[in-house]
Formats: sequence, structure tokens, C-alpha cells
Amino acid sequence: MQELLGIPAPLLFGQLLIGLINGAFYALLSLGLAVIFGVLNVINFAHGALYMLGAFMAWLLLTYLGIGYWPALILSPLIVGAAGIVIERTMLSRLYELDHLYGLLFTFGLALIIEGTFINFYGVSGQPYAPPKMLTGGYNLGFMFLPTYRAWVIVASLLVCFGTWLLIERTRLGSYLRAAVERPDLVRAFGINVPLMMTLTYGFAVALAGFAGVLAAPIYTVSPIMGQNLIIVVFAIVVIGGLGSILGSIVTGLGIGLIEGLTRTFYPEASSTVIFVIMAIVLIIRPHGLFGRSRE
Amino acid sequence: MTEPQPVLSTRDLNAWYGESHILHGVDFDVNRGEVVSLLGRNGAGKTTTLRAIMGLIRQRQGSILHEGEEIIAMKPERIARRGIAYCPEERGIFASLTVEENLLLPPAVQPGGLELAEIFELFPNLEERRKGASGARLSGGEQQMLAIGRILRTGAKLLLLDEPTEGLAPVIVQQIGVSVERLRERGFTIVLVEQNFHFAARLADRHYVIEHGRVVEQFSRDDIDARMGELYELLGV
Ligand SMILES: Nc1ncnc2c1ncn2[C@@H]1O[C@H](COP(=O)(O)OP(=O)(O)OP(=O)(O)O)[C@@H](O)[C@H]1O
Ligand SMILES: [Mg+2]
Repeated sequence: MQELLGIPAPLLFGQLLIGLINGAFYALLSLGLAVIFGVLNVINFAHGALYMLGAFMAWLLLTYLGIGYWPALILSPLIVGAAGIVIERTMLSRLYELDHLYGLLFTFGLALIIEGTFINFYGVSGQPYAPPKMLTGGYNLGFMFLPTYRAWVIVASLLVCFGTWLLIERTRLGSYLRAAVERPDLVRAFGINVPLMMTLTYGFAVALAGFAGVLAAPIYTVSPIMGQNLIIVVFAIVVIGGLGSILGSIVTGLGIGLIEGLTRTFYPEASSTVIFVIMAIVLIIRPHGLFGRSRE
Repeated sequence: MTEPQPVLSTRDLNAWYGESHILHGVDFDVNRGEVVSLLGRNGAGKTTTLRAIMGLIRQRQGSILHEGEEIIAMKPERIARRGIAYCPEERGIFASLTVEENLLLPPAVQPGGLELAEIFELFPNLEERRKGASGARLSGGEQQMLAIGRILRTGAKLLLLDEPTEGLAPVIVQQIGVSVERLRERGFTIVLVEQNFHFAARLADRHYVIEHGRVVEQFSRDDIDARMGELYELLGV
């Protein structure tokens, strides 16, 4: 068997693939967190719960209405996004005037409520969700086996991340958003409805989390606590990449996924702590994160 | 014939930052096509007055009539859409936007805004810097031109300019003076906040002096020479 650095090649590439898949989810979620933080100045602790909601919506749509993967991939993020819009309009927007801490506490409580509700009805054990027929099977690449569904997850999340980046960095709407991150008051004084933009931004960013949830459903089991484990890592990534940097969160998300995969291959004991070690080092050397700008 | 209605008039305008009561009843009128200056020492409340008119200060009371309509309770975006444009003292150039994005940022709120070519005619430097990667890389003078230039596109007819000459070299101040003059000729109505009294004296039709959040005196272009001593006294120059 072929070996690389003393590790069988299929094992190494297998771990790298897992790393890349995890990285794709990290990127989608940390991107949303970065956008929300930039525009709303809120650290959205409910992000993991809304990712779970996305996965659960797909499962519920299938189980109760017979609606399959592809429609769910559109419908579920729309439902999560709509929920986000309601949450922002009716509750979150009332906290902007107060200290940051209130937004954080509110979203944290919201996460507990959403997750608690689902645990109450469905337990923590998790529900299986089959990948669509079209994406079953895989390719033998010679050095490893690549399951089709996983390849799709990587492509889909990269496309969505890149699309979001384009939207924010290269369009007129994006220039409104970037300007509102710097000076929301002035942007309003130009006649742009910033409060509406904040609502839609929150809706859009949590819809991204919902989308990630649907993508994740066939890979991980659909369970009320699936977001909890993930979100801690995602917060570490946002800290490493720099709060508020779009590109930074995408690149860091993918990079951390790969580093995790490599660590799992070479030193499995450290695979779950390596991220936090990196975070600590980055905080010491570059407190604003690798890609972050200091605010004010 | 009836008296022409002022474009903008404030009555008993009060404003607060948290607990501190900053404006204690500011009264002034601006007629169509006029350049009116608000003068006053540091901290007198000139910027606060403009911000209150734009709806950027939440705690405000009194009356602000624009084209005869009460706007005191309106949100900033609605006030802007009525055709009032604000150029802040700190210029408000966005570092994360390119020069061109900065220029194109304020949306058109009314027909009849200046074309880009006309803005570049007023401020030729902007055309050279148009492709700049970040608004923050411009010099102070260029930033000021960008800050004024970008609100001319919107079609707003009433401009609130907060200290457009602050910290700029005399030749740039001169250039901005010429631009303001040209804007007046084009029919813009302008409220000009200034510390640079000589700059304001040349341009404005009328001057209001603000002190401790109140209008304490008014001068017109015609009586300013005769009352120069009085004005210097008020401004402490
Ligand atoms: N954000 C704020 N919070 C609290 N007080 C403020 C704030 N901004 C301004 N002030 C106070 O309000 C008063 C009026 O300030 P304002 O900026 O309107 O003065 P100004 O006439 O524009 O002065 P300058 O010529 O220095 O620009 C000052 O005493 C200032 O300290
Ligand atoms: Mg001021």
C-alpha cells in the first residue's frame, strides 16, 4: 500500500476529506456569524440552533409531507430565514440600543429554547436522513474513494460562500452593507433603510445556516444537539479569522477543517483541542484575528 | 403676493445626548436658493443642529419644517428622501469602499441630481482618484470633495455642509469656496456650518450665531461689515 509520511495514503486523504467537509460547514456558518456581527453588531449564539433547525426542517418536510432533498434544500433555508426575520424584527432589534451583552444573552437563550423544544419532541438520539439518489455512490480516485454526496457538499458550500462574498464585495447592495458596518447613521442619512437591511441580513445569514443544516443532514444524523457541538468550534474560527471579515471567515473555516483532519491523522489525541490552541496563539499574536481589522 | 415659504425652518429645537441637554431652542430659517451659515465657537451645538435636522439625534423636540412639512418625528432615511443631504464634519468617507463606491453610494432621492461628469468638473481631483482602492487613502481635501460630490448626485436640493474647510490647505479651501458658489448658482439651498468665518462671510447671504445651543444673533450680508466688532466678540476671534 502507498504511504505518505508513514501514513497509508487512503487514510491520510480520507482524513483530509473529512477535514474539508467539516471546513465547508465551518465556512458557511462562520461566514453567517461574521456578516451578522458586522452589520448588526450581535454575536449570534443561536446560529448553531438555526443550523439544526435547517436540518430538522428537511427531515420534517420529508417525514410528514414527503418533500425530498432538492426542494428541501431551497425550502428549508427559506423557512429558517423567515424565522430569522421574525426573530430580528420582534425581538433582537429591540436590544440594539443596549449593551452588546444583551444580544448575546438573548440569542443564547433562544438557542436553548429552540434546541430544548426539539429535544422535548424528538429526543437527542437523532434521525437518519438519506442522501438523494442522484448523489449516492462515489468515485474511485485511485488513492482514495470519494463519496459523491461529500463532493457535492464541498462544491455547494464553496459556491454559496463565494456567491455571498461576491454579493458583499462586488455589488451595490454589498457596498450599502459595508458602509452600514462602518457608519449606519450616515448610511441612513443618505436615505437607505438600514433597519430593513439589518433585518434582511439576519434573515439571509441564518438562511445560510439553514442551508448548511440541510447539506449536513445526510452526513451527520439529524439531532436537536447537532448545532451545539459545531457552534463552539465555529466561534473559535470566527475569533481566529477575525470578527467581521467575510473572506477571512471562509478561508479560516476551510483551513481549520483541514488542520483538524491532519491532526486527526498524525496525532488523534489533539484533534479536538488543536483549534483552541490555534485560537489562543492567534489571540496573543494578532488580537483582531488573522484577517480582522480593528474596529474604531 | 405672499411671503415665500422658507425651505427649512426650525423653532424651539431642543436636543439631548443622553442626559446632557445640548440644544436649548434653536430658531432659524433658510429660504430657497440661500446660503445660510451657522457660526459659533467650539461645542456651541452647530453639528448637533445639523444632526437633529437629519433625524440622527433620537432625543429631539420642537419643530423642524421642511417645505412646510413637519419632519421632527421622521426617521433619517425618510428625511433624506425628501431631498435633504448631509455632509458630516468628519466627512464620513468609507474605508471599506472604493473611491467610486463612495461616490455612488448615496442613492438618488429626487430627479435632477448632477451627472458624474458635472461633479468631476467641480472637483477635477476626484476624476483622477476615481479608481482608488479605498476612500481612506485620499488626502483630506480629496475626502472633503468626495464627501460633497457624492451628495450632489442624489438630486437633493437642500445641502447641510458641516465645516467643509476644517483642516484644509488654503488652496483647497479656495477651491471648495468656488464650488459652493457654483452650487448656489445652480439653485441649491445650502446650510453651511463654519468655524472659518472669513470663508463663510464671502459665501453666505445670512449668518446665525449659535451659543450654548441657542441662536443668539443674526447678521445679513449687508450689515456684516458694520457689525464686524460685534461678530468677532461673539465668535471670540
Ligand atoms: N455624542 C455626544 N455625546 C455627548 N455629548 C456630545 C456628543 N457630541 C457632542 N456633544 C456635546 O454637545 C455639545 C455641542 O457639540 P457640537 O458637536 O454640536 O458642537 P459644534 O458647535 O459642532 O462644535 P465644533 O465647532 O467643535 O464642531 C458639546 O458640548 C459637545 O461636547
Ligand atoms: Mg461641529
